[in-house]
Amino acid sequence: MSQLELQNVVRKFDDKRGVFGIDLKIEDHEFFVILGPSGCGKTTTLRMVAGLEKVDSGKIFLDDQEITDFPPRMRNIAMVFQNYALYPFLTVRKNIQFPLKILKMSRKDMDDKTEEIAKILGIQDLLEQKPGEISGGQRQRVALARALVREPKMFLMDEPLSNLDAKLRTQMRVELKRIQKQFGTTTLYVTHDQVEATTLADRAMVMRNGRIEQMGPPMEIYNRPENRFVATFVGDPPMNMIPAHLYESGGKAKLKIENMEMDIPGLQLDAGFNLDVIAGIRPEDVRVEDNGLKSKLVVKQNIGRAEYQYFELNDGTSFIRQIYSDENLQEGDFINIMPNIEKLILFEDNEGRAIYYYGMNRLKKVLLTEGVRSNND
Amino acid sequence: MEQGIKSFNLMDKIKGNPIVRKITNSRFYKKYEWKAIIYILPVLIVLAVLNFYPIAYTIYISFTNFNEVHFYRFVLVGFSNYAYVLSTSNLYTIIENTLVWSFGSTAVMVPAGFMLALIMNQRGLRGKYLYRSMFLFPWAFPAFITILVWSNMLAYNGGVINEIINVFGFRSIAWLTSPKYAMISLILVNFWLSFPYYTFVYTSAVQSIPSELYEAAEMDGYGSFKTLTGVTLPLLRRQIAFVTIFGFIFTWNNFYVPFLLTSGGPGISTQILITYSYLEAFSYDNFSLAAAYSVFSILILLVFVIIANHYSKMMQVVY
Repeated sequence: MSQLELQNVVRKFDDKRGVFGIDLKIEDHEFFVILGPSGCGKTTTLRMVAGLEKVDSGKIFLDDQEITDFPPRMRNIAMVFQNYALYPFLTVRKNIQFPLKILKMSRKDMDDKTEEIAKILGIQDLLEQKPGEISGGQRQRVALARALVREPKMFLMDEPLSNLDAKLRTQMRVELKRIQKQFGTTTLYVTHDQVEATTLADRAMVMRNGRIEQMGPPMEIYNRPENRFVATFVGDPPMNMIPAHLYESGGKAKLKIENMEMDIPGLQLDAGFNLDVIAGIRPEDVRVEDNGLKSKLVVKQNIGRAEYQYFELNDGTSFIRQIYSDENLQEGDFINIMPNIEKLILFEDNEGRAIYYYGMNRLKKVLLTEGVRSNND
Repeated sequence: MEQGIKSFNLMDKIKGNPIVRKITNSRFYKKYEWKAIIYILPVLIVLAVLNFYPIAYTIYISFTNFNEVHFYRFVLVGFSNYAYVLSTSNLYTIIENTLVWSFGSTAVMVPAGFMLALIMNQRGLRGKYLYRSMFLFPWAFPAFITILVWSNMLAYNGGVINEIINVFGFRSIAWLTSPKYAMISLILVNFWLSFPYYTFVYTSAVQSIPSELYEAAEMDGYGSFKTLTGVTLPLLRRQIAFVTIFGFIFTWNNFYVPFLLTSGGPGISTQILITYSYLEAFSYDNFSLAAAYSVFSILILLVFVIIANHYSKMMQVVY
């Protein structure tokens, strides 16, 4: 079907807001998700692909054809909007047929096509109703049907699930993935919800302040975040960030958090190396151990399948732990906690870039930060 | 201390009164939402004094011989005023004038206001607020001055419009003094006075349309005209119907433009029902006849409003 490529695309609203140079290639059949907080430029990127937003500089290609300055209607791209953008005065059938009407298609062809798509989406009984008479989830399906019926080269979706309640959202997530696989249409999907990104995406891209922070398969982003922003943005509850000290002692790499010390097996450091770092620990990668960090349980939150425990370390750093079993701890209790070394990530202190993932035998080469460069590599 | 507080609580005292309690416990009292009615009451009273009573009185005197001669002692004369009005050819000319005036004005000012609203709300138009304030000028300016200026501009001798026409080699036109052109001039001036109002009403309507409805149409390949007919007009049909009906009623009863610009002349060629009944009443002191004309005016207008309302209700759909 189709590939999309963005080459150094820039759209500047002012010095802080906009999109500042996006390079991106989406493969055929791929479900690609742009993830980021509000105002990060993800929707602007999507709208530039749609042709609804002007491109200041850079190029956009669809199937090796440059479409940078094409008007939206010349691009053959369908978009699903956050608020569905259904026409309230038209029935569901007419709404789905809206893109076909302009193509001068015969009435019978339009009806056949509409009914075929409606059946796939399970809305064939709603065709004669108005959008105002159906539920939010059904409206979402109608909006999808309208995008599907055109058989476009590509789908753009701008937070299509954010207006649905939590239960419906989970359900539609599954549905969306199924439909995308069934039709195999290349999809660019924008969201601020990291769960949507991890569940839907073949590949995802995290954006911040108009720039790409990280791109890759969602689990890779989750397990190997390239910096502190990505690490805390992806994952709920967010990754714990604890100030620590990395140093060499007797030929071994050691990490010291408060008064707790742990070995980092396999990591080779120069003699005398020492550096302030941030230890990144996922809430689910914490266990109780006698020689662990002494921490005080401040708040317990039970969410049914799991329990979140909010701890406070000696120096006041807060820490979240997620457990699946019942532990009978009371708020105010002290326990000793220990991060799972296999999931440990270290970030340098200044810019927050990741310098170590478990299993590496050298620190990752990170530019800019003086301390790291002078001490290793 | 407790006693003291109690005695100062006026509401409790009133509520505790046995007579008040008897009323508040009655079924009649409990049946209605009295608080809501109390809020409406002042408006109802003003309407009754300033509107319902005069209308009733007008209908009453249209059945009497109340005029200059029978100013102090008038009697009921049945339908003779109506019979007289129907027997004169004036009535038909005046009704025709009123129809031309109302339909003509509505037909130009409402679509023009709508188009201007669309033009002013274009995406990417800079200085929208400046244009909007500028467009308000003709409406915010005192109308009688505007009408005076127009009457000078439309003057046969030395009027700016005729001067311009002369430059292009055409003969002067008697804009205000020939039966052929007087009504056109009236509609033109009324258009000038009223288009800003309609522009503003439609501006808020046009702005209420979410932008993604336009963007969705744009992505589906709809051009400007197709978007207008396929999205904007259907979305705004209720507002358009309402504003058109409202504009029509307002123009039907719009007194000051014909009265100040042509005073119904030449002859009765620009006389509309409202100005003519004024003329009958205050120039000829024929109050009962004037009342009969008014009643005719109301009845005809009522028919139009009922028809229009019927059709606009049909256009209303469940959203």
